[in-house]
Amino acid sequence: MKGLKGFIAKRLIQSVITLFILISILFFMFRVLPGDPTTMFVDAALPQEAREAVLEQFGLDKPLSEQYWIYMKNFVQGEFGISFTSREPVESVISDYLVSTILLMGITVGVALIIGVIGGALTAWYRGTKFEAVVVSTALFFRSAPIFWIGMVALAFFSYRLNWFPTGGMHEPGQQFTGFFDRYFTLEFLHHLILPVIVGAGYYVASPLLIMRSSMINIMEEDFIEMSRAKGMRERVLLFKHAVRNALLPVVTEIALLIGFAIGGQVLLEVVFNWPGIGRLIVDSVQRNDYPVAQATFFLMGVIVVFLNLIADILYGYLDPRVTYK
Amino acid sequence: MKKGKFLIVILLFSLVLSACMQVTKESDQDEKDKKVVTEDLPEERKVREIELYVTTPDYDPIRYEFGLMIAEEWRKLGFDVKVTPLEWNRLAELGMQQKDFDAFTLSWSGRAERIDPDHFIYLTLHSSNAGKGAYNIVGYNNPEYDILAEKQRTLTDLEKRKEVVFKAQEMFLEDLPYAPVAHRDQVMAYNKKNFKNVPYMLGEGLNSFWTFLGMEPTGDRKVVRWGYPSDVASLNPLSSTNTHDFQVTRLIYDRLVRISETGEPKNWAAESIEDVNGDGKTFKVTLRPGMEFHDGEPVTAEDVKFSFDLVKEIESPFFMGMVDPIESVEVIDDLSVQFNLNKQFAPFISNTLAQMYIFPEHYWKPILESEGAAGVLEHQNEKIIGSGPFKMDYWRKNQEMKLNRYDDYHTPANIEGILSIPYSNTQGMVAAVEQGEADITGWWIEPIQVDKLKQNPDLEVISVKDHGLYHINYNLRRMPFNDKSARLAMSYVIPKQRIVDELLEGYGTVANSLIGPANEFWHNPNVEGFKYDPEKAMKILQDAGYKWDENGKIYYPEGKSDADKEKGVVREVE
Repeated sequence: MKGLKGFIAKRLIQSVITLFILISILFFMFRVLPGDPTTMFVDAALPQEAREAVLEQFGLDKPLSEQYWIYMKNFVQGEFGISFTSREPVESVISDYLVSTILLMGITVGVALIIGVIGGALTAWYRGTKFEAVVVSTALFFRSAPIFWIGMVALAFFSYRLNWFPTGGMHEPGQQFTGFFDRYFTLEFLHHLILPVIVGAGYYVASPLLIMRSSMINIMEEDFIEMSRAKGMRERVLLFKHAVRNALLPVVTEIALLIGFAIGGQVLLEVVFNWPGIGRLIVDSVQRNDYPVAQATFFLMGVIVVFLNLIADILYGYLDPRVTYK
Repeated sequence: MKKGKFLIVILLFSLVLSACMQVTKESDQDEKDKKVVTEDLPEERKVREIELYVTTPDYDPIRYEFGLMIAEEWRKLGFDVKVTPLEWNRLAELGMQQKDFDAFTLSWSGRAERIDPDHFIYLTLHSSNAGKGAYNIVGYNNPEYDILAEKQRTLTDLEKRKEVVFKAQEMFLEDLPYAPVAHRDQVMAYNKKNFKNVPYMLGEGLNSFWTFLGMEPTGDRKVVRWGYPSDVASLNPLSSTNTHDFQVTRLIYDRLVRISETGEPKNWAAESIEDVNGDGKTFKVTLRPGMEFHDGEPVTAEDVKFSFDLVKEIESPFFMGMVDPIESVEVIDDLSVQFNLNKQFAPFISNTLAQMYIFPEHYWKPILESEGAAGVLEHQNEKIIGSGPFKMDYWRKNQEMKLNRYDDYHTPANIEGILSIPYSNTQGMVAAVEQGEADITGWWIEPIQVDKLKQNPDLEVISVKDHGLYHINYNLRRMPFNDKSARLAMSYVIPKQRIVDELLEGYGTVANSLIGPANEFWHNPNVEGFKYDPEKAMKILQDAGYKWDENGKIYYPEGKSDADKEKGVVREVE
């Protein structure tokens, strides 16, 4: 057990260092982008004095080294500053959008995983059939087509042409809500959710599916499968009880990578489906040179990815008794 | 079978190749015909490569395309031109901030406050504005012009001012420090099944104050749904700089003066405005009696004075420049105030009184006293209290904002409220209006979408002539743009009519003057401008002594070169 504890401690320290490097990169990354938060004033006929006043209010008139020092100091204390566009503390800007993003992303990734695991198991089991060819090529098609394009095509067809689904957004405009349940546990919300979830899950499903499939193929060559077959165990029991359970391991580590990948897809999904979440906030903040919001949103993504990888590494040790920590 | 295919491919290939050869041959022939070739021109007189910055095609396809067209025309004159598309932020940084460019395409949008000619005549061309970040982007420096630009600022007599503004337009055309290209019509659409008698105005289209005040519901939908390609960024106008924020907050706060649908200033919350000494330096403003803020407090002269003092004190970015000419504001009685100006400033009524909001003193004063200027600027103002025709109901960020009619307003609206819906882009907004989810497109529609919308029986497509202006900025601090003949020649080959016909699909007009014909009062109709005339352009260059080598490349006249930067250099104003 000492080995595991030591391993966790080591990985934690590594993660912290990674995040530290990340926040430094973020600071410089947004500042080397052309323009500054006042670029938007250009066409607003604001006098030069006004621009200078604003830069001063945001502390952008100070030398870069000093800015960096202040930024790092605040970051360590958990202060992300105020948004340049709304002058609201960054935490509260982000919290406005967090729920809708978590809902969409959680459901999309969940659906992708369930379909991926089941589809992967079945394609491995029915290897060499037409069924396998159709499922694998469909998954690969959705994986290789750009998600925004699939999204637009789905919208054009199902919403504009057939009127089956709303054209975007999270709710019908102009509703009053009494609380959380009333807002997110309704058929109307589900109706808005279906299309982005299908498109998103279709895009994400290929990687869990293919990993599950190859892991299953390896398992099916194991002796114990032959053994159980020889014992006369029913196919279904054999498939789900023995093969799938053992093949799930690599998929667990895949979840961490998948979520990192899904963050990028989420941005496009939100833009195409007009979903009021963090993804759109990222796009807006980068376009408006709103450094504090952009830094915080990117940092949040970094934390999620690093943290999930850490969890996956630790979980793997628990799940697979063959792994030892030295 | 296979052989046949192979043959066809070869055939096609050779056809394409020969067609290409044909084209190059013809254009070479064309240029050879026009240009007189001079042998042995010295290398230092060769005109350097010119870089033309354009926007990326997805930021503005029109600007990108006409940039390419113009570059093609310049090449025919013998110039080496490189077209570089830039992200908007980069373009603004290089072109407008650093002034580090050769030429770039820009559009001044037609805002209501730009109906007053001061923006175009003074801000974009006066030599004191040529420094970093200021609006004289091209670096024009003509003392004679400066006198005109300063003079029009001091004349409160409209007719006299008009005369000077006309003269300035004529002088602009002689020098062409930047080249007007086109005025793009603002094409927007609204749902005529749900709303009727919908007003709109120059420069604002369907986003105007009058639209929401005047439009009438035809049936059950009493709350208009206003689609827009982005969300409001901030409800605090004291710190905001975002155009859409002001399109919303001007419905919630009231103004002393509003620019009418036809573009003239009109007394609004002010009952009367009088020039006390007739010298344009002292104004007495009397408020309408009986006005109240949304929380029931009366609107008084104290609030007006407080508003002007507040924006000065906290250096509010949007309002700062407007209150600059004001020395002091005095309260005379409950309903009247006196503005004392430190100098004559002709746009005072149209650009100061018509832009400034009346802020409630009882709301902002405690914030100022307890949290200082920074506290006021960072205040979220989500309970926004004004005295305008609409009051805040709720705002769910990136989803919708609901405003309700303020029934006690002096000129109440006909609709019961506004539901403002942000979309992630213009396509989404247009689609929502087509589907009937939204009623108004809050952004102009691309020319290619117009016909489709016109076929929709529920929609009314309106098209407003715009005084905003697509143009090409020349950097007068550098050769060849420093040389007037080169500038004129390059302007004469801008295919303006083709740009309007092909790129704007007819939804626009050719621009000749910097004050567009849509701005009827200030536009000088005698400024006929410069038409597309390549022959004249060549003649101008030849007369100025420009020469061409055997490849058709252009060379400076005797005694000129790329290094000529001294003449006509701008006074760098710090």
